Amino acid sequence: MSGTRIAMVGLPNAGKTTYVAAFWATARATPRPDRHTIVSFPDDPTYLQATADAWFAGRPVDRNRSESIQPIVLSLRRKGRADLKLAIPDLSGESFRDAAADRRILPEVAEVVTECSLVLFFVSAATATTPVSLVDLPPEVEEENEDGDGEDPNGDHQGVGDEEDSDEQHQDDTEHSDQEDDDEQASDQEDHEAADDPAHSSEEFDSKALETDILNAELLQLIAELRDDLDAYPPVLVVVSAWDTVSDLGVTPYEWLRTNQPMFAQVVAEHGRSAAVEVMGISAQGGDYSVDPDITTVRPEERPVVVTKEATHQDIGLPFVWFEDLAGSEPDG
Amino acid sequence: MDEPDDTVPTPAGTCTEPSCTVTADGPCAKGHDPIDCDSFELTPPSDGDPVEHAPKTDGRLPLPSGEALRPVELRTVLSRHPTARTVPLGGVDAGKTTLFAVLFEMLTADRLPTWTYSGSSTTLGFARRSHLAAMRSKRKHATTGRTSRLSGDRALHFNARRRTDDEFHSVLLADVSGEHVDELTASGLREPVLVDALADAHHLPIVIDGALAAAPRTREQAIRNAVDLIHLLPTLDLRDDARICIVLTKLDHFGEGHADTVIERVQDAADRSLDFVPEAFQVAARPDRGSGTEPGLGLDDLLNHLVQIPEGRSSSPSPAVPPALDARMLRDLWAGSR
Repeated sequence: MSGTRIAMVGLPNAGKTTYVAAFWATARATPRPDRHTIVSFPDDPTYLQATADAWFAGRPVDRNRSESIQPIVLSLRRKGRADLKLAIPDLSGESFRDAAADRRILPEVAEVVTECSLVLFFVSAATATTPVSLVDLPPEVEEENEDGDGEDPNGDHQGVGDEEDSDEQHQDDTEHSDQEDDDEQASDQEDHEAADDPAHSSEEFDSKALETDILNAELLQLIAELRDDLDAYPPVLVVVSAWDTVSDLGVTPYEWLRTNQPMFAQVVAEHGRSAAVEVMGISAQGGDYSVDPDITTVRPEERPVVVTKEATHQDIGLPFVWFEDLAGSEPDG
Repeated sequence: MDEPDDTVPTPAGTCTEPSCTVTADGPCAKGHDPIDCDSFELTPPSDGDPVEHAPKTDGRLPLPSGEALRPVELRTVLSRHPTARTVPLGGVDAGKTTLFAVLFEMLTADRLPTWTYSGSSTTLGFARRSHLAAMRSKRKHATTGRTSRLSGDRALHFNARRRTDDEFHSVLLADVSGEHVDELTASGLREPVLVDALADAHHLPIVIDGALAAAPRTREQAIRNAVDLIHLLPTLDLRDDARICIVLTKLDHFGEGHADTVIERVQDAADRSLDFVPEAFQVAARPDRGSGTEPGLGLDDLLNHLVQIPEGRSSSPSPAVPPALDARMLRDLWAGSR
């Protein structure tokens, strides 16, 4: 058997643990010949079983919030392929957020990302956030003229040599004032929306409150930089989790990433110049438990949804199939 | 009285004023920028790679800060790829920091037609500046938010790829304090951090605040500020191939065609006094919505220019200006040109 170290990377609530839970729950169920099945139980299956049981019962999976690393080693078999042994430690999203925001990393986490053969990078479609650009914010309110001469701040917006056009400018100012009233109402609404934006909700700059687009981009950059040798950049498979929340958009996972996490998508593309990259949309739960509680009546291996650029599947082990194909796994017999 | 600067954290140091909380990142009790306060004494900086010397905390390993780069951190960035270095010149509130914050935002949001984003060593530095600019947008009165003289030796960095030919470029932007530039033109004071940055710069964009240049009351001053800088540059130690250009910001403040007139006047002054015509760029990073101007107008072209690394040949004739041109001579020169 080959031992393959996999790093599951992602911010808090990105879907890492839910994915592992779903994979284990489907692998331990009645095996299908074209899917991964387990060869043997891990030495200590407690964590895996607990998370898989929650998934099976249609309950949200408790994610790993602590700095402790939940070791997960899976021995798997899939028809037509060599047996696979995967080491997939479940790292807390907080440890990755701290790396990107606070610029400190636990040595154990650094070891996982520097020695892995594959990075599964999770981004939740349900919770991903994108920065509001300065160009999309309401313009600055001009400081009032302290001389009190009553000049309209916008009256200064005259072109060079425009003095002879003062009458026309006055009419323009009037029209501009009416538009200003409309803009002010719109800008009040947008101020409220901007205030709800966590990165802008307080005066103090808080790197931990940065949008996921920025933190994910930073995280992938840092992972690459932690690898000493350029040739050792790992392949990266981006999992857009909670895919069921955006499946109606009719876009591919990569198109979703480019639109909703543009900074991260561009860093992924840049990484793709040095190593293989792929983007898949995965709904590990198969749907929203609060909307569809009967989902637990569906056979486990038929609940997850995996979307690639070509088609929609139900095989939650497709990320590992992709990796095996990269590594040129020779089929048995 | 100097307003306290909220752009950068308080430097390490001690304060003799009993009621002051500046050493705990509170405001200066006298309302000063700490470095200007006679009660505050800076702790001398230590040399060496800050990452290597950063103490471990909670057993965690330090990573590169992601903030604006200090001189000791530059060598790591510069050793990876040939890097075009830009030192934007303009006075306080000319808009240099906002200009490049918006440029970075547009690039990372995939909104520049010609360029894609390929990474940065100072993402948090850009994010911090964007955050402060966003906070200013929500206040009724303008706040300081300017680049402190303390951070005058910092630089922001990013990589970009041109879509047409896939060519990779690394760009370094010096985060210059406008106060240092104002002091240079007002009194000839050559702040070492500014002088050092200028000596290595490939590009020296002279940033003209378009809001000032568009307003009749302040137009002549805006033009004069730019011309003063042009006259001063030959007296500084610059690369032979350094490229000077003009960047007129806030284009949405101008009526049609009038921005060209401002630029032509600055170019004419440079041509008459220095025997060269700087290239000019007109930009509108954050135009007013009612102006009909596209956000980020001109930034794509500006980036096209700033990524270029001169190949050691002088890109413009040596300006014919006598050395040791001081502020008094500048005023005389200006008065004579009117």
